[in-house]
Amino acid sequence: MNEFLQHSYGYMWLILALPIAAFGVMFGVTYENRRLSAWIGIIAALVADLVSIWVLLAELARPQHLQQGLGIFTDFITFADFHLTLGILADPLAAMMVVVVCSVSFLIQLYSLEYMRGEEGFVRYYAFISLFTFSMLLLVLSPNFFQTYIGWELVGVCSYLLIGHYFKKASAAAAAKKAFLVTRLGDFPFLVGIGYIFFRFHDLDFFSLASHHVYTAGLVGTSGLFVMGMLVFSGAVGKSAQFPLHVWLPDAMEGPTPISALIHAATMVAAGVYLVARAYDLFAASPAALAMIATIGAVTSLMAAIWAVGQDDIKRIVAYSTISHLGLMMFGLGVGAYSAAVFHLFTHAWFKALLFLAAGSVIHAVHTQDIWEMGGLGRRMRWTTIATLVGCVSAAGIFPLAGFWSKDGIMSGVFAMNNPAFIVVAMLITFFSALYTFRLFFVVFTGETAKRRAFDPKRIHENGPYILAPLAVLAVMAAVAGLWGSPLFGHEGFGNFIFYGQKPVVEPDNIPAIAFSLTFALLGVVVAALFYYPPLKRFSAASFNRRFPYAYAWSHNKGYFDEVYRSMFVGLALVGGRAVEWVDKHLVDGFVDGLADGYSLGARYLRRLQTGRVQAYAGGVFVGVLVVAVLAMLLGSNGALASIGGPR
Amino acid sequence: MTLHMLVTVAAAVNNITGATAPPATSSAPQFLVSVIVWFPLLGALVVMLLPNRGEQDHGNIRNAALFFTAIPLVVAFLANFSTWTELGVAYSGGFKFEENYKWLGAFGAQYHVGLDGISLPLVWLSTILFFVAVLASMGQKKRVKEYFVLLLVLDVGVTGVFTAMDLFLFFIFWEIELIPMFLLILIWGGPRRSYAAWKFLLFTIGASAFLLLGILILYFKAGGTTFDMQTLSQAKLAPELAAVLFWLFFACFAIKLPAFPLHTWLPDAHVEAPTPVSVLLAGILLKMGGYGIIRICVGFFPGAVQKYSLAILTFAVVSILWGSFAALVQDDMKRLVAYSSVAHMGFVLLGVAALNTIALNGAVLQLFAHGLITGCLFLLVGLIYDRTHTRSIKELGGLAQKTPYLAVAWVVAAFASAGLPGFIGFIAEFEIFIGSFSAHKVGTFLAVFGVVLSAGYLLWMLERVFFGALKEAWHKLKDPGPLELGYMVGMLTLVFLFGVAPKVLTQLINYGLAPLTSRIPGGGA
Repeated sequence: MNEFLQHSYGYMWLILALPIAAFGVMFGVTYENRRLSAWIGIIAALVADLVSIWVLLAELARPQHLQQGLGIFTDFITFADFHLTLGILADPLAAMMVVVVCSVSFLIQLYSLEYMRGEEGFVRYYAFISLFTFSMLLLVLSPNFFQTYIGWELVGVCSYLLIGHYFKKASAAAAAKKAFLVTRLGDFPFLVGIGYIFFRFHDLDFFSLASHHVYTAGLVGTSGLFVMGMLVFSGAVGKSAQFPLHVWLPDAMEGPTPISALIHAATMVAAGVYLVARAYDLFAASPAALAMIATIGAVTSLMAAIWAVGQDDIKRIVAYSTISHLGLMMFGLGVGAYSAAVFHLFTHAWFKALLFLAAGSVIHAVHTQDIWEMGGLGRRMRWTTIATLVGCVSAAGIFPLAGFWSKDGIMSGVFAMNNPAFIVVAMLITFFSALYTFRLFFVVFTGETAKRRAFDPKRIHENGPYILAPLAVLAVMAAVAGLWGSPLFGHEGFGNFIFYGQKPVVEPDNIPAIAFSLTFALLGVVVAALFYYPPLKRFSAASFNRRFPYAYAWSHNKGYFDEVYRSMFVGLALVGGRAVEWVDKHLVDGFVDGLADGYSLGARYLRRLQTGRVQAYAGGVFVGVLVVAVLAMLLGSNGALASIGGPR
Repeated sequence: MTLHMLVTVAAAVNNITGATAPPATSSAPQFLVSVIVWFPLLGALVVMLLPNRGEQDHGNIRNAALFFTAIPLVVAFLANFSTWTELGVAYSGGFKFEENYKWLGAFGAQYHVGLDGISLPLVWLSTILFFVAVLASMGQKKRVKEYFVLLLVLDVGVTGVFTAMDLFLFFIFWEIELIPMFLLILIWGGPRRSYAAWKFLLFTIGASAFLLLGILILYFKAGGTTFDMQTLSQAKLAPELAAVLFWLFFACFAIKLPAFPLHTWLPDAHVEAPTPVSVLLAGILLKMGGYGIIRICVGFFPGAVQKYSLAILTFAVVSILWGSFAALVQDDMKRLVAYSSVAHMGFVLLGVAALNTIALNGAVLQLFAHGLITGCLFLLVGLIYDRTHTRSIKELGGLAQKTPYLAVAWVVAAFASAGLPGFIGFIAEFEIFIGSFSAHKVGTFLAVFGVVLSAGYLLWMLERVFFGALKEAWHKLKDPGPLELGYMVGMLTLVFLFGVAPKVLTQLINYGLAPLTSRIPGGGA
C-alpha cells in the first residue's frame, strides 16, 4: 500500500499538464463544440484532482516536510552563476492546497454546465478556467519565489479575463481592469522584495533558504528583515484583498458567480495567505513583521465584517465575508497560530465556495442579486436552502461544523498573545461574521417573498442536478472538513500534518477562547434573528439606520475607500500624466522647435541654392561634420592634423 | 518522473546533436554576415530596375522586396543552427563569422564585420522585423518603387550597425540609416509629416555629431592607427578622457534610445510614420541606441559607466516614469505606444546603470523583447487604423464584438508589453530588476513602479477601445484577413516561445557579454 502511494509523486506532473493541455485543446481544436470543450475541462480537472488526492494520501502516510521536499526541477534560465529553476514541490502544505484547487475547479466546472448554459463565450469561459487552474497550481507547487511570481501574475491575468467575461458591460470591463491594477500595486513591492532576497542570499529557493536558516543567520539586520518581509507581504496584501488594497475584490463580483467561487473565494485570493505560510521563515525571523501582519489582518477582518452588514447585493455580502475571513487567516499567521490559519484556509475554501455557489443558485432562479428582492425562498428552493444553511453555520464558526474548528484555533492563538486589543477585535469579528451571515440567510430564505415588478414567485423553482450536486459535495465538506482538526483525529490531525518548524507545536485547547468565540458567534446569530427573522423579529433595521445614520452610511459605503482612492490615485496619475505631457509640449519641444526653426530656415536657404530635400540634408551633414572635424582637431593629439592630411 | 525523463531525453538529444555537428569554425561560410547586410542592397538595385507602371508591376516589386528580406532572415537563423556548437552550447564568447578586409588603409579603417552573442539576437530581430514590415506594406499604393527601395536601404544600415566591428564602418552604417528613415516619414507620413521628419532629422544629426566627435577623439587619442573596435576598447585612456568620450557616445545613443529629455522626436515621428515604418523605428532603430550603449559605452568605458552610474540611473528612472505617465494621458494609440517605448527603453538604461552580469543580460534581452513586442503593438495599431481610419481612443469603443481575433491579439500583445510571465518581456525585466537591485535600491524601487503604470495605460486603453458597448460607427467593422492574422500570429508566437524557453537567448547573450563584463572594475558580479 505504501509503495502504491509513493508512486503518486511520479505522476505529479499530470496535475499541471492536464489543465494547460485542456486549455490548449479548447482554444485550438474544440472551440466550436461547446459541450465537448466543457467536458474536456471537467475531466482534466477531475483526473488532476484524483492524482492530487493520491499525493495527499502519500503525504499523509509519510509527510515530507519542506526540508525533505521532493522536487522535479528544470533549469529555466541559467548562465554564469545565475540560475532560475522551475519545479514541482510536494510537501503537506502544497498537497493540501492542490487538492482544494483541483476539487473546487472540478466542482465549479460541473456547476457551470447548467449555470452558464447558452451563454455567449461559453468555451472561452471554460478555457480560461483551465488556464487559471494551471496557473494556480503552478503557484501552489512552486519551489521558489521565481515560479511563485510567475504563477502569481498568471492567476492575476486569468482573474482579469474571467471578471471581464461579460466584456460588453462597461462595469465588468472596468472591474477587471481595477482588479488587475490594484493587485499589481501590491505586486511591484513583491517583485522588489524578491530582488532584495536574491541580492542578500543569492537564492530564491524556499527549501534551501529555509534549510540554511539564512534569515536568522545575521546576514540582514532587524530593519532589513522587516523591510524584506513587508515587501513580500505587499504582494499578499494585494492578492488576498487586505486593507488597504481590498477595494478590488467586491468589484470583481462582476464576473460570473462560479468564477467568484473559484477565484475570488477558494483559491486565488487565498494565494496571499498561502505565500505568507510558504515563506513563513522570513516573517518568523522578524517579530515586527509578524505584528504588522497580525494588525493588518485584524483591521481588514473587522472592517470587512462591518461593511458586509451594510450591503444589499448577495454576492457583495459574500465577497466582504471573504475579505474578512482572509483577514482572519492573516491575523492567525501574524499571532503565530500557523497551523490554525492554514487550516482555516482549508475549511474556508469549502464553505465559501459553497456560499458563492448557493448564491449563484439563487441568482440563477430569481435573476436578481438584491437580497431585498428575494425572501421566502426556503419553501421554493429546499436543497439550496439547506446547503446555504450549512455554509452559514460553518462560516459563522458554530460548533460542530468546519468553520468552528479552524476559527477556534486562530482564537486560541489570539488569546495566547495576551493582547487585550487583539482579543476585543477578534470577538467583534466573530460577532459581526455571524451577524452578516445570518442576516443574509434570514432575509433571503425566510419570511415572505418580496414583491417586485415582473416577478412571479410561483415561477421560482429549484435548479437542476448539475447545480445541486456540487452544492451537495461542498455542503458535506463544509460540514465535516473541520473534523480533521478536531480532537476526533487527535495526533493524526491537521496540526500534526501541516505546521511550522521542526515539529508540531502542541497547543492546549484554550477553553476561554473557545467559549468566548462561540458566545459571540451565537450572539451574532441572535441579533440577526431579532432584526431579520420574521417569527422572532423585535427590531427594525430601518429604524436602526435612521437612529445611527453615520454608522449605516459608513458600512453601506464601505468606508468610502473607493471614493477616496479614485480621487487620490486615479487623479494623481492623470494629473502626473498631463503635467509630463505639458512639459514635453511646451518646455522640451519649445526648445527643440526653436532650434528646428533655425535649422529649417537654414535648410530653406540651402534649398534655394540647390534643389530637393536630400541635398539640404547633405548640406546639414556637411556643415555638421566640418564643425565636428575642426573640434576634433583642436582636441586631438598633436599628430592629428598630420594624420588627416595624408596617408602615412 | 516522466517529466524528469523528458528533460533528460531532451538534454541527451541536445548533446548528441551537439557532438555530431561538424566543428563550425571551419565549415561556416566566411561571407555569411555580408550576405545578411548587403543582400537587401542588391534587392534595392533590383527593385530600382523593375518596371513600375501598373498594379502588376507593383506586385512584382513587393514580391522582390519580400524575397530580398526573406533571404537574410533565413541566413541569420542559419548563422545559429548550422553552427549550433558555436553559439548554443560550446560557444563561449567572442566574435564568430568574422570578415576582415583591407579598406581605407590610409586611415586604418577596415571592412570588418562579425557576430557575437550581443549582436546575433539583434540581427535576428532586424531580419524578422524587416520581413514583417514588408509583409505589412503589401497595401502600400503610393510611390511603391521608391518606398521599397528606401526600406531595403534602411535594412542595410541597420544590420550593418549591429555587425560592424570597425568604428569607421559603424559610423558609415549609422549614417546610412538616416536618409531612408527621414524620407520614409517625409513622403509616406501623415498630415504633420514634414514637422515630424525634420524633427527626427535634427535630433539624429545632433546625435551623429556627438558620435563622430567621439569616434575621432578616440581614434586620435588611441594612436590614430586603427578603427578596430576590439583594439580601441582596450585602449589605455586617461580617466578624464574616458569620461568625456563616454558622455559623447552616451549623448548620441541616448537620443536614439531615446532617453528623457531627448525623447520628444519619437512620439511625433511615430504618429506620422506609416505603420511598417513605425514598426521598424520602434523595433530596430531604437535598438541601435541600446546596442551602442552596451557595445561602446559599457564595452569601451566601463570605468566611466561605473563612475556615472547614478546619473545613468537617474536618466533610466525618469525615462521610465516619464514615459509611463505620459502614456497614461495619450488619446492617439500610436503616441501611447511610442511613450511606452520611452519607458521600456528606460529599463535598458536601468540594466546598464547596474553594470552587472544579470542586469546587462536583461538589458540586451530587453532590446530583443521590446523589438518584437512593440513591433506587434504598432502592427496592431495599424490594423485598427486601416479599418477605422482613426487612432483616437475616444472615438473607438467596443471593437471586440466585431473583431474578436484582433481583440485577442491586442490583449496578448498588451500583456506581453506589461511584462506578463510567459512572454519574453517578463524575462528581460525580471533579470534587470534582480540585477539592478543589488546596485541601486531606491532607484530600482521607483523603476519597478513602472510595471504598475504600464499595466495601467495598456489595460485602460484595451478597456476603452475593445470593451464596453459597441459604438454606432463601427457596426460594419471586420476582422483582419489571413495575411495580417498570419504575421500577427507569427510574431506573437515568437514572443511566447522565447518567453517559455529563454535559456537559448540568455546563454547566448551571456557569452557575448562575458568579454565586456570581465573588464568591469570589480568583476561585474
